Amino acid sequence: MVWHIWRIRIAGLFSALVMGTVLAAPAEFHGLRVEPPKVLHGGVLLDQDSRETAFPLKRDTWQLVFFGYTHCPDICPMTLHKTGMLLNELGSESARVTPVFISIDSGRDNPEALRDFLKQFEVRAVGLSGDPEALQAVANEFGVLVRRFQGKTALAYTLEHSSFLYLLDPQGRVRLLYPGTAEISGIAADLRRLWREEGAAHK
Amino acid sequence: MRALTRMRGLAVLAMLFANTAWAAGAPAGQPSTMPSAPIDPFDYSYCGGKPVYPVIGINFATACGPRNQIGLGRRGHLMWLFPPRHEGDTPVRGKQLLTEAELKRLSLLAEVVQIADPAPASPGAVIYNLGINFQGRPDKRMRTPVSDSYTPANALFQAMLKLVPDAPLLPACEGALRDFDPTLHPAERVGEPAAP
Repeated sequence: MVWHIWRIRIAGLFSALVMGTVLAAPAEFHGLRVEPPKVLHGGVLLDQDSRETAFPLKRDTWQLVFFGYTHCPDICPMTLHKTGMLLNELGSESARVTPVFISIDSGRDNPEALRDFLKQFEVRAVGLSGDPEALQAVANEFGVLVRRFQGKTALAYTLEHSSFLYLLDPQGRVRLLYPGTAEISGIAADLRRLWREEGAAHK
Repeated sequence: MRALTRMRGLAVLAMLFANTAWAAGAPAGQPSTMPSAPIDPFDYSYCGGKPVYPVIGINFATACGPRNQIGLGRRGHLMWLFPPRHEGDTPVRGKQLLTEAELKRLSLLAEVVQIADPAPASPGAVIYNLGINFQGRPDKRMRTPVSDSYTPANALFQAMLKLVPDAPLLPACEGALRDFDPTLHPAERVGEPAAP
């Protein structure tokens, strides 16, 4: 009898846990919600026009941040291309988003290299580079991991790196995280949802 | 090389489950931290390299209940160990290789937990200790209650629990909700300081 009561209690608690899963599932967003939003310490880097630029950007825009390097053979060009498609998808609302490409290759990437690289994709993005310490400090806040594979000459190397996209709000806090394979339509839907929520909060 | 990688994975899992039944079987003399380089294979989300998965360890219990454990290994196996329901019974344990989609989901949730700031602590009926190790990164550890509000850690815990075919032992407890260490024996939890 006592065990029977315990079983009911256990089943109830377990059901509550599973129900919690349903309630807690972040299904309403395509990206994964960072809750509470992560406040970044950031740093000062150089943009593609060699201007000292605070990161997160001190602009009243949402920021789509990703890490890469200009010699990257695959994922970085694809991500930039994807970012351009996202801006197209957002249409007139695209001005509310600033893509930010942060180089993890302080050995080869400088503002000029970033400017040339970004030009190829015709994406309105801010490219940031800097000294190794400043870049490392920023990368560490996102848990970005970089591993170097040395080639035959000093500058012939490739870098393996994490390939997530991070959505930052205008306060510079990380709100959502996407894998590199995320669908454009999902990111656009999330942005529009966040903007609706933001608008409702200001009313 | 694969054997070395597997040993490293076991060592990390043992670290995350320190003082648990699984850790008791860990090889002696394993390093307490991951080597800084070289790391092979690479992380699961990558530009190049071979994917493996984060090691995740969770201990959870109600205030008066025994410790339950769930873990994810580097090679993508979900493992669980729940206490027996009746005295004299053997513990409920199991291991299964997850699908690519399941592993991707858990890895992404772990990634968010890794970068997220901890949610404000509060007491709860079920409390869990969570540890995550991504290769080449510092461990992430936290103790937090299960709640119906979304946090990345809650989402990860509940996603892992959903994949386990057995039910954990979570008896309801009398008294006010309080903070406690779920890895301790219930009798030793008395006097645990309240959550800040």
